[in-house]
Amino acid sequence: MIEHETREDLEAYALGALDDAERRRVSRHLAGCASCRSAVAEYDSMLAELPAALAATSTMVPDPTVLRRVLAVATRQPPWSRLAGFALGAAVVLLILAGALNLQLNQTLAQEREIFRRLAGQQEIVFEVVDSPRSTKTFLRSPVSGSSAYGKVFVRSDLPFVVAMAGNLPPPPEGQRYHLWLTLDAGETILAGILTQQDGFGSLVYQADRNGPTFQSVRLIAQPPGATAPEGVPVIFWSR
Amino acid sequence: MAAFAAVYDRYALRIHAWAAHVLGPGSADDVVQEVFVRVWRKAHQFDPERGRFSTWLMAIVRHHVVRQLERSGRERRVAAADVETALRSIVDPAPPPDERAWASEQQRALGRAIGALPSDQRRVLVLGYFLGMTQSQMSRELGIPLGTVKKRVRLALRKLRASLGGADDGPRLRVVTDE
Repeated sequence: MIEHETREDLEAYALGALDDAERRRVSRHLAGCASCRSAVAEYDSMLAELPAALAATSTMVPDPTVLRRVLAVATRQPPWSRLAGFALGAAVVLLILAGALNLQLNQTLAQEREIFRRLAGQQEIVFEVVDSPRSTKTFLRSPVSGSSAYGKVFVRSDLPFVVAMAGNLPPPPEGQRYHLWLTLDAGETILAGILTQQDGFGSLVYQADRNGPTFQSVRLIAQPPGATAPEGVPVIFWSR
Repeated sequence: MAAFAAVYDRYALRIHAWAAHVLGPGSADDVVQEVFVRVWRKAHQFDPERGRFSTWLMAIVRHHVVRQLERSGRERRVAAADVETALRSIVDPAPPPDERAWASEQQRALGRAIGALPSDQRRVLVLGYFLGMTQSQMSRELGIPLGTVKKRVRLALRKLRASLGGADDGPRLRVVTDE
C-alpha cells in the first residue's frame, strides 16, 4: 500500500514553494514513487519554460562579451580541472542532444565532439525534439543477447521531426551502411535515412509529413546503399 | 568549446531576462556569467535520467538569483512587480524577438496562458518560481491566509498545464493505492 502525496503538494513542490519540512516529506515519498515523480517532472518541465516566456518580453540581451568572460574564467582553472571542465562542458550538450544515448562522461572527447559536429547543423531541431516535455522516447534494443548496441528515437507531438541516435553499434559489413526504417501506424514503411556512423555512434534527423508521427516498429538494418526495403536482421529494433 | 557555446546561445537570453527583472538590468550580465561558470563546473552532476537539462539549469539559475536578491536588499515586492509587468504583456505575443528563446508553439501557448492569468494567481507564480518564495512566505508577504495562497498556486499551475493540453486528471486528495 502506497500513500501518495496530494496533487496540490506535488504542484507546490515543483514550484519550489513548500516549506522545508513539507519539501523533505515529499522528497522522501518521491524517492520511492515513480508515479508521483512523473507528475512532478511534468510540472518541472512546464515551469522550466517560464523564463523563456519572460525572455520573450525582454528587449535586453546579454553583453556579447559574456560568453568570452565565462570561458576565460573557466579556463583559468588548474590544467587537470580545465581538461575535465572542457570534457564536461561538451558533455552537457551531448547529454541534452544524446542524453538518450546514456553517454558516460568517461567516453572519449573525440567521440563526443564527432556526434555534436554531425548534429550541429540541426542543433535547434534536436534541442526542440529531445528537450521537451512533449517528446516521447522509444528505446531500441539488439535482438542479439549480450549485445550492448542500443538506440533511442525521439518524437515530439507538435513537430514533424524524428531524432534517432544509436550507440555501441558494431561496424557494418563491408559495403553496407545502417539504414533506419520506420513503419508508421498506418502501415507504411519508410526509410528515414542512413545513419551517419562512426566509432559505434550514429544519429540522424528525419522530417515526417505530419506532427508527432507514431510507429508500429523502428528497425536499424545494415544494408547496401540503395536498399528499398527493410531486409535482414536489424542490429537494433523496437516494435509495438 | 562549440558545444558549450551552443548551450549558452540557447539559454543565455532567458537567464539574462530573469536576472534583469528580479535584480535589475545592471546585474544581469554578471548573473549570466556566474551561472554559466557554475554550469561548466557542475556539468558532471547533470543526470539525464533524473530530468531534463532545462529543469536542472533553471534550478541553478533560481538558486543563484534568489541568493543574489537576498544579498542585494532589493525589495521582493518591487522585483515581483517588475516580473509581473513583463509577463502581463504576453496576452497576445507578437512575432518572436528571438527564436532561440521563443522557439515553439508550446512556449507561446504557455506565455499566452501566463498573460491571461488573474493577477493574484500570476503573483504567486512569480513569487514562487522567479523569487523562490515558499507558500508560507507568500502568505506573510501578501498578508493573506496560507490556504488562499495554496489555492492560487493550484489554480495558476492548472491553468498553465491546461494551456499545454494537460488533462485535469491528477489526484485531488491523498489517496491510497495497491502497488
